[in-house]
Amino acid sequence: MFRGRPVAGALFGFFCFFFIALDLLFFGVIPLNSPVITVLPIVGIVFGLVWAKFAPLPRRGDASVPPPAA
Amino acid sequence: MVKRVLLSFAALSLMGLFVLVSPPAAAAPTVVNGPCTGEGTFKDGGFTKTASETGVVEIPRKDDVAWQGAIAIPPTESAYSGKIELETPAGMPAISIDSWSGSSDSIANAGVKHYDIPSWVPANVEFKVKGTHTQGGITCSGFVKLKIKGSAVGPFSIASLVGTGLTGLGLLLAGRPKVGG
Repeated sequence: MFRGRPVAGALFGFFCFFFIALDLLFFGVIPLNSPVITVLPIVGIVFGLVWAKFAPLPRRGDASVPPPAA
Repeated sequence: MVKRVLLSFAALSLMGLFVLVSPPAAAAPTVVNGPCTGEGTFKDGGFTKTASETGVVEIPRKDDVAWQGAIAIPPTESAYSGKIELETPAGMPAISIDSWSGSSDSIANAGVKHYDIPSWVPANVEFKVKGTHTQGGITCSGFVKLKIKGSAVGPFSIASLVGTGLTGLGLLLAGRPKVGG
């Protein structure tokens, strides 16, 4: 059971980690033929799904709701 | 025929202009295999590199390169073929830069080649170019690691950073509990 948004998590995880790989490439950290470029987006999908499963962020507006009195 | 061999060596020498390499000496780096020699002198860059170069070579975006190459086989008429490819990320096919084939008795050549890499090709990115040349049943193969001189900051790197930021924000928001969840 996912608390968050698994489809969005997987999609944004894929692209976010893909862009991170491109950042590493364009700033000379890794070469063009590095396997990191193909591995990172896959890691991103997994990370996005795990992130969506636990959804650790507060729901919108939750921060302004006072905790129930004891 | 001679022109084909000239083209072969020119192509091998292009993109670093030193894919052909010396026979491996005792402690020589093994970036090239086969009885070949080759080197290129970059006019504006002001340096000469041989095929035994193991490090990353930073080349100007455009330059004139005086190149020479040879293969140590008897100068008899024989078939030749070869290719140069750009290595891509794992799982993706290599990109062909050039290939050649024919028949010749020439075993060495030299010349000057002008190159001008388009401005959209990002600088400061390490490329690995590999090449082979087979002639008279002998094969020379090797690779060179290249990097275009220049700043890493450019349209691609900026777009990549913006993409990282935007998709990172989307990823962050995917970690908020669903309404009613």
